[in-house]
Amino acid sequence: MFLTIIASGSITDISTQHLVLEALFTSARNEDHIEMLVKWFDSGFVHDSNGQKLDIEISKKHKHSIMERIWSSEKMSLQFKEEMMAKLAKIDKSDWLDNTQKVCEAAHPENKEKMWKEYFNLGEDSQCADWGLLHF
Amino acid sequence: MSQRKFTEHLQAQFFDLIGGVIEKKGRHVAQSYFYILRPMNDSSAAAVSKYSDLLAKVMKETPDNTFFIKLLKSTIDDLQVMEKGREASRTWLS
Repeated sequence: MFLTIIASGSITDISTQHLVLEALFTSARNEDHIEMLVKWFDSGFVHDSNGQKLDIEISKKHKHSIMERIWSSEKMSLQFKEEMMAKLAKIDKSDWLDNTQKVCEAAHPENKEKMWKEYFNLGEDSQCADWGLLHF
Repeated sequence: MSQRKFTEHLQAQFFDLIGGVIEKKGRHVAQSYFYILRPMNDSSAAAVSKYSDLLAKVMKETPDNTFFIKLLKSTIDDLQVMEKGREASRTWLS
């Protein structure tokens, strides 16, 4: 639905486009959707459902959101996910990258148990302690 | 991707572990833990009873812990509202 809205060209305001795209990324819930987003990430542009490139650029912020979806994939290998993260690290070294890396680590299906244990490890040896999560 | 199937088996631990966080950590941290990690996918009576059982335990053992009691009560309310909405949807769709 969000892709139909974007591809229709009816939204010309950049900030509205940004919001619709963020909603689209959040709604990407199956492997086909994620594969489509990988294509967008690599090309730097939105494509319609026929694969036709649209004149809508994928911003750095969008690439971070796409990365979070990629890491939640069940089918994509960890190696592929790390390669994609390396691509993101080449174009953005801001605080966003650190945040995205942490979100992605937790999003990777095989890490669920590890992360759950980390959340409830309240000692100073916890990885979460470095996040400032245990302080207020 | 929906992460529910990966986290479902871990969620039962929440009810055993959250009390320790509430006890050891400050209000802000404990509240964040509670709201971010509380299981909210299932609003069935069985799921609500897990919160009700914990609430009964807390009220019996530490009745002055109003902070924790309020968190649990508000979650039970949230789940009951959610279930009413889901029931209305099921009725409408049938």
